[in-house]
Amino acid sequence: MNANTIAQRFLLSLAIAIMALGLSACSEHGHDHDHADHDVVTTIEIELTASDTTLGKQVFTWEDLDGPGGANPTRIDTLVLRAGMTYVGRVRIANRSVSPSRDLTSTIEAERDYHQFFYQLSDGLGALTITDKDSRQLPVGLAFALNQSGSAPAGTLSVQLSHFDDASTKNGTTPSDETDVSVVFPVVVR
Amino acid sequence: MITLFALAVLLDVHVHGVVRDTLTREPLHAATIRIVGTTRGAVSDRDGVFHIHDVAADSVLLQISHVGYATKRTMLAVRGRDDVRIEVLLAPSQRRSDETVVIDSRTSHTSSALPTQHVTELSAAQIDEHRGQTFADVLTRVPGVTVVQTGPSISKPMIHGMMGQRIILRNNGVVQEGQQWGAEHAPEIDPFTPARIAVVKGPASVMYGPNAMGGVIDVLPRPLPRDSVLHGEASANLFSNSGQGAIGGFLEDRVGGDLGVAYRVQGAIRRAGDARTPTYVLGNTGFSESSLGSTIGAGNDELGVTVMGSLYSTTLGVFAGSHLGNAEDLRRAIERGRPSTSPEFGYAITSPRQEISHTLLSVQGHAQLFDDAMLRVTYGWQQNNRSEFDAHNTRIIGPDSAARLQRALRTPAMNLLLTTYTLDTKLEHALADNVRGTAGISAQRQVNDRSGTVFLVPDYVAWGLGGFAYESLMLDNLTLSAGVRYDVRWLDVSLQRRNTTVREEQQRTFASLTASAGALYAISDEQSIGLNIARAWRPPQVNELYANDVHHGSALYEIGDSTLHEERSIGIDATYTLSVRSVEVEATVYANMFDGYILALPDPTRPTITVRGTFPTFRFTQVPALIAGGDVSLRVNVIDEFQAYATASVVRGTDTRAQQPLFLMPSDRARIGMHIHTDDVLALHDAFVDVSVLGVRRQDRYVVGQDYAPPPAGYALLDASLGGMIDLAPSMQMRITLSCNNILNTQYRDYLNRYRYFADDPGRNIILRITTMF
Repeated sequence: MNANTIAQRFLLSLAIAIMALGLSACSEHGHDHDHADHDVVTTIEIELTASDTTLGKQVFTWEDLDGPGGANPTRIDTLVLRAGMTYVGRVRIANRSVSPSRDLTSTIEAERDYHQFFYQLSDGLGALTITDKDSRQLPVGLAFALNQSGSAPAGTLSVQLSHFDDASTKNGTTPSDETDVSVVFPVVVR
Repeated sequence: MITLFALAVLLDVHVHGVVRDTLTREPLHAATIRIVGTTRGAVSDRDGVFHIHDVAADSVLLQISHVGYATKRTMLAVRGRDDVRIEVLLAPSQRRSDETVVIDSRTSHTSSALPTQHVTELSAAQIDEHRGQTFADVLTRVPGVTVVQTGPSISKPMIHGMMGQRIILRNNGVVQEGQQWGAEHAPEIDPFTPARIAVVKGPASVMYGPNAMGGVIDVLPRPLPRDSVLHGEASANLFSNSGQGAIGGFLEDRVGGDLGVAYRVQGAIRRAGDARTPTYVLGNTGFSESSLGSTIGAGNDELGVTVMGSLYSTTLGVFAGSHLGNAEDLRRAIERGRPSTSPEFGYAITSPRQEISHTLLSVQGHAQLFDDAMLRVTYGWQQNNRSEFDAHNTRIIGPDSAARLQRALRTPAMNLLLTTYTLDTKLEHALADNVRGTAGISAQRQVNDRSGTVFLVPDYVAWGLGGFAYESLMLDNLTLSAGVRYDVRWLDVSLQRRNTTVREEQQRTFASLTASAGALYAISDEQSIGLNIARAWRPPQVNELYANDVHHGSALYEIGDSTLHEERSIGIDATYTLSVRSVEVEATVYANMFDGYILALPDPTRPTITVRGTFPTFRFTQVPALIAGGDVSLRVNVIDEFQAYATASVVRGTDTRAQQPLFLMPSDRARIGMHIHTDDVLALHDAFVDVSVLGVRRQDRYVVGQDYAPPPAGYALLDASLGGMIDLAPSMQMRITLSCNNILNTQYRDYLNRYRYFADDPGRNIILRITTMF
């Protein structure tokens, strides 16, 4: 067998290998379509417990069950505050587009150094103070105190959740460029 | 006795061979072959063949030269042989480094365009001199071609203001089918791959079907070798700005004589770190890329088959500062004027990122049926696998295990697997001595499989069928061309909305007639004028029909319209060329009138409210539009060694219904430069120095309020390069180019760079390119 024949055989086998590659890779279907590993926030709940224990607990919900896009949010509750009342507040976030639904609050709790909620009460509704701290004594915002005061009969409460890729960029006052949650609740004072 | 014998041998040595163009393999007529140190030599004949008889020496140094080619020296051992046969491959010279070659397509069947259309070709030397970090970079030397960038690692070519589905990119004779619809989806081609690149600036739909309405970028491989001589090339590129290193090369040979088999294997790898602007590092903008390809061809000009396979894969970092949660985040980033963090330079690539692989297999066959008819059949199979990993979706993962977190980090937010099969059959024929043409049928099947949480494109199966014919009549000073084509596209979409398992099926059919006509008139030996008119179309692309999601980085909510119809255009262009001894001028004017130009327009009355805030909503719609402009290039040989050149291009895009500018049109630009060339400087042959200034005007045609930030200021960049060839050994040469782009480290932002909202363009970049040919 001379050198040329060997080379030709080598090339022929290379050609066959390439063809085989093309044919075997012919699957037209990629990753499995189960994308449950990616969570989407569908629901934000604000739970307010008034200092007057006779008023009990109130839960206000913002919900967009089909996630970002599609239909606009299906439910945006109006926060009803008692004039002059002090509240202890908690926020919960969840994914209710899956069954069973998933509570995502504990993830924020576990990664508190990388997250912060930013609350903004519109003028004349009172003050909101974050009461929980991360490991560097910076605010987290899962728990807060709300003191109703002022003269506005109605307004808004905006809730933003910032994620910090790098915990050292969190300074307690500046939101990040990566907002995971940004919703607005209407507020009325009774 | 021994002496006599030796003398006899010496007197008898016959050195002969053939001189060819290293790229086209065409034989070179009238090449001069000289034995260095003597007056002996020969001139090659029409077939490139030369003979030198009675060579009397142990060894000879041959110098082979030809106008327009780099001179080459080859050492030959002659002693003890009576017949020495060599093949000499000459590389086109860098003397006219930016010269645009007008291919004489009157005689070439394999041209990228109709004979009356103007084709700009980048030669290997030009590609070598300007090869950039990405495939598209080198194309920006062609007037009228710009790139739309998503940072330094993702560049998408644009011809006359048209990109994506309005132009086509051919790789090795097969139309590249990647995910064309996104501005951040770059062509999946390794910068080392092309041997030549032909750019057709104008509609070529009759030849290539829908989508070629704006033009064609044709990536041409080296023809396979015709002789049994092992050739190869090894290249290395280094870029200072991103710390990029790239190596690539190929080997080619032919075994088994006339009926033998020719082959080439090719490979390249590159790795880049973060890009640097003059004042800060762009975090997570590094990338890695690898490619491997092989080509095997058997047969001859009459009958043959070529099999080509290539694997390309890349991982692209997406600038961390461009990944924004909502429109408010983007506004903050724009106000800040620079990224919130300036990380240390590094090579690490984290999320957000893209992982893409592209596999191409093509089988091309040709058969000479009779004297004037050549049948060509090309089968192509390609698979584009694109995964996009978000920084966002991988974070909030519920209360369960760390294993789920790990799995989530590995799972892309969006995966698209696009498989395309194409079959093209063409019959090239001559109806008369001066009437030539091509008729053919093209068929295509394309399957897209989507998974993940992003709903920008749906699953679909598309079928395409087209039939075409074009003919050219060649008279003394006049060439006339005309062609017609009919295409049908069937689209079968399976829509999955969020959080439902029910799929919605939808079928659409698109069909249209394409036609073109042109004339090329040679006013004199020095001047010509070409005029072309063409009707072209494209079906709406699937994202324009069905998108329903946030486009990350742009913080826009895009909503498709499933009732969109075909986009049609009429394109007219005229090109004038003048080529006298010391002056070359080339000027093109064009106008494309669109009926149903598809674009996304803002819908301020219906913003999209999501859990991540409120996004501006953009809806795809159709408007009448006009894209018109001109390109001009001028070259003056002041003296033989000194050349001054200038290029300029202008594009105007207008929505003619609203009488407002189209979004994302390139701004006016011009380049002025000089090229000094000399044959020999010490050991350097074919040495050159090139200095040029690129000036880009601010885009002042935009709609106030349609974009987050007004277009950035105009800018000027100073670029320079120098280089030459060195003989390393007999028949081994090295080409070295040292370039510096943005010498003054100018701080600027380009309107066509999507990162312009949050960051500057890269600063100074010193580039070393070395290519060894043997």
